[in-house]
Amino acid sequence: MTISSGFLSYSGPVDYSRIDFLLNDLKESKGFIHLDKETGRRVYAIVVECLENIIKYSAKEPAAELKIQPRISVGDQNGRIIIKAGNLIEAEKTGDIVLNIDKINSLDDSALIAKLKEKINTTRKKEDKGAGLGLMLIKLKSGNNIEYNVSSFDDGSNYLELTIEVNENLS
Amino acid sequence: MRKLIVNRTSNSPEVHFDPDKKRFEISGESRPPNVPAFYDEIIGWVNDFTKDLSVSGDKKDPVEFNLDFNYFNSSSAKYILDFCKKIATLRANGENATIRWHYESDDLDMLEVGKEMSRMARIPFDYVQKDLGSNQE
Repeated sequence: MTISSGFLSYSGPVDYSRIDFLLNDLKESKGFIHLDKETGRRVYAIVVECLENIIKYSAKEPAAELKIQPRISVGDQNGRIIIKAGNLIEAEKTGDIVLNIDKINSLDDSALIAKLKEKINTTRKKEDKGAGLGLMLIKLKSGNNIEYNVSSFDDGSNYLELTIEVNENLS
Repeated sequence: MRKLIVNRTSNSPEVHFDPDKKRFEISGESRPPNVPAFYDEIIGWVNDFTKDLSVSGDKKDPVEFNLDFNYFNSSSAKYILDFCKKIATLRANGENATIRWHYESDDLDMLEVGKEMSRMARIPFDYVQKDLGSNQE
């Protein structure tokens, strides 16, 4: 099944200034302009969290020979919006991230909202990289579970790709 | 009392805290690269403002803090809640401090987030629909 990249398609290094460029490209894309405002806001919020997660969780020194860059795409598939985000992560962190996604996926909306409020309400720590808040918001904003795939490489790094399908006009 | 003025950027909101002009406003998009540093400056200013009010003993003038976000990321949410809790403490100490939560009329998510922030910070918000006026909950 082909996914139209009428919104955003990027592969390359991601830093905060690149995020600004990519979000601008997203907002100016034909696909995004034609979304209703509420769905557009949700897609925007999910893409922000995906891009920031790439910065937070990317392997610091990916093996040069792999040359696998972070990727993000937003497209349309049979009237559904599909966001894909992938990056290399360190092997020792993979288990925790995947476990966190599984836990989030196991919660219904009311339980997830309660968990989100609890996390936001707890004392902040400077070393806290978000405590999974971004992943929780991604599920709530999309209205669907976060699908993922992990590909392992011999150097010990893994490539984690998230696939998020966004429901239109959630309420 | 000093002012705190921070210009808006592509990823951080404008902050305009000016006691002389009685203008207290954060507006725009909040996803700064260094969220803790950005909001620590704001929280620090509120701490100083609180001390200044307690020293002056002047509790007559109303102080309205306007929060007018069009978007904030998950990292910012915790710090915005901390800010609201600080204002709630000000209010609990007898100051006439309020929070006005602005939202676009069709942005019901932003309205709902404001209601949750109000509950968690334990301070009533005035909700300001940008094009249709305001009402208090």
